Amino acid sequence: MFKIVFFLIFFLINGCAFHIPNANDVIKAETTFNRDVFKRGGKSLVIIEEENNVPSSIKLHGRFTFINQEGRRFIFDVQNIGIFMLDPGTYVLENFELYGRSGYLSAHINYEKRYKAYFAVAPEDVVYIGKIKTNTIFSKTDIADMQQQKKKVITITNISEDISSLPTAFLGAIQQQTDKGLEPRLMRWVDTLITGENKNE
Amino acid sequence: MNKIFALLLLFVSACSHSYGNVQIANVIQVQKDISGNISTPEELIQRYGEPQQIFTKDGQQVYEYRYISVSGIPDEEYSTGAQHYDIRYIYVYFDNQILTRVENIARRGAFPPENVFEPFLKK
Repeated sequence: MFKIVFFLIFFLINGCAFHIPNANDVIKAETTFNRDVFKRGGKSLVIIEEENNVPSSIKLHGRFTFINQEGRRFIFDVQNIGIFMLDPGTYVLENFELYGRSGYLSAHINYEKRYKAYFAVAPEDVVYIGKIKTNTIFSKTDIADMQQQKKKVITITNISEDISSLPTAFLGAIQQQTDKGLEPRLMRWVDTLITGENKNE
Repeated sequence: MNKIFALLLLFVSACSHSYGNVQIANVIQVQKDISGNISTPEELIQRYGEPQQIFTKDGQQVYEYRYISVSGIPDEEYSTGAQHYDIRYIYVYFDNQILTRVENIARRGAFPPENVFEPFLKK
């Protein structure tokens, strides 16, 4: 009996240790669009697009970490189109990275403080805050020594308004679910390399 | 034996993560309690603490409380862990500081929650 209980506990401990749900899961459950919560709760609906042509064996997508005025962090994983139901307020970009995962392997380019951005939303706003597009402007492989190959990729990320490229059926669904049309309102997006604010890169 | 069972439950419950006000987890009971015993914002805050959000709707002040949790013992090798989600919202309406109505929303299901826009995103 003791052995059975021991193995059961051992199994549970291991299961929990490696797979315990985390804060990101909670955020995802809360920010997924829900018509009832949106209509009753004074929420706002935010649409963001992401596109990149960065060469990678694992497909990369945009991962934005925003922090709101209450100090709560929201990680937005955006694969093509991201849809988020948020509390009204101001959201400041804390980090932007390109991230991909395939099984045990993951790849990412972390831009850390290179980009600054923010947006603000009011109750019942239904807004499109832009397409974040990362273009590769330089990519080459150098042989640093006989043992190691280094791949150098230089990119630039900017924002554009490309609401017309969104599927018509999707725009119709937005109207149907929120009783409002999608309003383009680009977030402020700054490349600190260009503005000279970033001396490290 | 009861101790062992309690220990097992403890481990199972450890496989969860939550945010918000756990006091409102039972939204039906809380809705009844607020409707029957609360009449002002001060009384509400005294009993349930500060709301997660206060906003204005149809000329009334709405106090929003929420409790969100995700849980589950995973059965997929690469799962992030979450298997189920549970969201609870309570909305308390005040007109000139007098309680007018209380609403609740409760949703639960398999994680991640259904994305109602997904079928429309295929270009």
